Amino acid sequence: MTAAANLPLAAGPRIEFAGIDLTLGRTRILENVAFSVAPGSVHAIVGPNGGGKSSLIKTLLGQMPHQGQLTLHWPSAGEVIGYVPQALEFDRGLPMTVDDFMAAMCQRRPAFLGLSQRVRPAIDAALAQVGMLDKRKRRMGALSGGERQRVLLAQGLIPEPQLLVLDEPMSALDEAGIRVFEQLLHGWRKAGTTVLWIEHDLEAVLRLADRVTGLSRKVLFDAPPAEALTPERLLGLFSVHPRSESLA
Amino acid sequence: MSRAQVIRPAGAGHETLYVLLAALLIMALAAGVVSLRGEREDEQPIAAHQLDARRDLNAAEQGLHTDLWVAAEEIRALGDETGTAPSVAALAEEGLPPFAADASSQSRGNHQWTQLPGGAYLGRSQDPQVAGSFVLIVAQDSAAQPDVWLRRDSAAVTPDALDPNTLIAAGWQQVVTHYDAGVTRQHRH
Repeated sequence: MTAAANLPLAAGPRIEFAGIDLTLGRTRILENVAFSVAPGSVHAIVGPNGGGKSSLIKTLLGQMPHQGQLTLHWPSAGEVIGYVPQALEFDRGLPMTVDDFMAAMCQRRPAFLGLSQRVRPAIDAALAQVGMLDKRKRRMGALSGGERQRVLLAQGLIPEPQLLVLDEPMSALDEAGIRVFEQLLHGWRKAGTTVLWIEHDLEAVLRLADRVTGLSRKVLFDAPPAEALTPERLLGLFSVHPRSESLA
Repeated sequence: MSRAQVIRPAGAGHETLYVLLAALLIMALAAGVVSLRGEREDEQPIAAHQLDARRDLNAAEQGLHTDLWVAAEEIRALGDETGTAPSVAALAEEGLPPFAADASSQSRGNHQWTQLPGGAYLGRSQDPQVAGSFVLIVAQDSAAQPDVWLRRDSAAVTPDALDPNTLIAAGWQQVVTHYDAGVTRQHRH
C-alpha cells in the first residue's frame, strides 16, 4: 500500500518540515531538516542515537525553540494529535492503576473520582485493542515494560487521533505486543491516519512503513523503504561520520 | 475545512511579555492607589523659640533632656507621696540623674541644680561649651508632658516667672519633641 492510494480518504494531515534548525545551548541538533510526510501515510524516521529523532518529534509537538517553517495541513475538522512516548517510569509502589492512568490522560474529571461515563466505552475499547482489559486494575508500576507500553499505546488512541506520533513504540514491546501494534498500524492506515513513527527495528520499517527518512542531524535520505534501506545508505547513516552520504 | 497550522517555536517570549505586562499593571495599580490615597506628612515646623530635641541638641544636651523626662515622672511620683515637690538634695540622694553628681553629670557640663517655686528645677551649666542650662517644669497633671527649656549663654539667670512669654523674653528656648516620618523609633518613658 502506498501513500498515494490512501490520499483520497486520508483524514490525517500533511506535515511539512522546511529548513528546520534546532540549536540547544551550543549543540546543533537539527540542521536544515526538510522533508514532508504525506497525509494518511506511515512515515518512519530512522537514525543513530542522538541523531535528533526525538527532538524532531518534540519540535513537531511545539516544545522546542526551532527555526524554520513547520506546518501541519489539516484536511478536515478533526485536529487531534496522539502521542506515544518512548517509555514512562513508574515507581512500583505508586498506587496508580491502569484505569487511573487512562482516566488521568483521557478525561477532565479528576482520576480519583473514577472513570467518567462519557469516556469509559472508549477506554474499554482501547484497552481491549491492546489486550490489557483484564489487567486494568493492576498498578502501573507492577506492569512489565511491554504491558506498560501497551497502556501508553491505548492512551494514544483516545480520542481518535488524525495524526499519531510514536517514539520507538516497539522497543519495549514483547512479541504479543508487537502483533498488537502491527494490527493497530493497519487500522490507522485504513482510517487514513497520518503516522510519524520513530523506529530502530529496520526490518519492521521495511515491512510496515510507506516512506522512511534517515535522520542524523541532517536528513540523509528520504525515500520508500525498499529504496532507502540499502546496506550502503544504512552504513552511512549509522557511521560515526554520517556526513558523507548526500541527500537521496 | 482544510487548514494549515504552523507550529510556533517554544519559547519564553510570550510568557516573559505577559509577566512584564502583569508587573506593569501591578505597578500602575500601586502607583494609582498611592497617588490617590497617600497622605503627605511633611516636617512639622517648629516655632522660633523652640528647639528640636532630635536635631538641635548636642549629645550632652540630648542625654540631659532624656534624663529630665525620666526624672519628671519620678518627681511627680515623689510629690504625690509626700505632698510637696522633692528637693534637689533628695533627688540627688535617690541617685536620680541628672540631679546626682556622678561621672556622667561631670562630663555633661556639671550642672548645679536648684529648685524653683512652682515645681520647677533650674540646672546651671558650669561649662556652656558642653551643654546649655536647663529649666525643668514638672506639670501637676500626670498626663502632661514635662516642659524643658534650654539656654545656651553663660548668663543663665534664674527666670522671673515660669510662663512661656517670660521665659522667651529672657532668652530661653523650649525643647520640643515631635513624631514625624524622620523618627524610626520613639521611646515613651
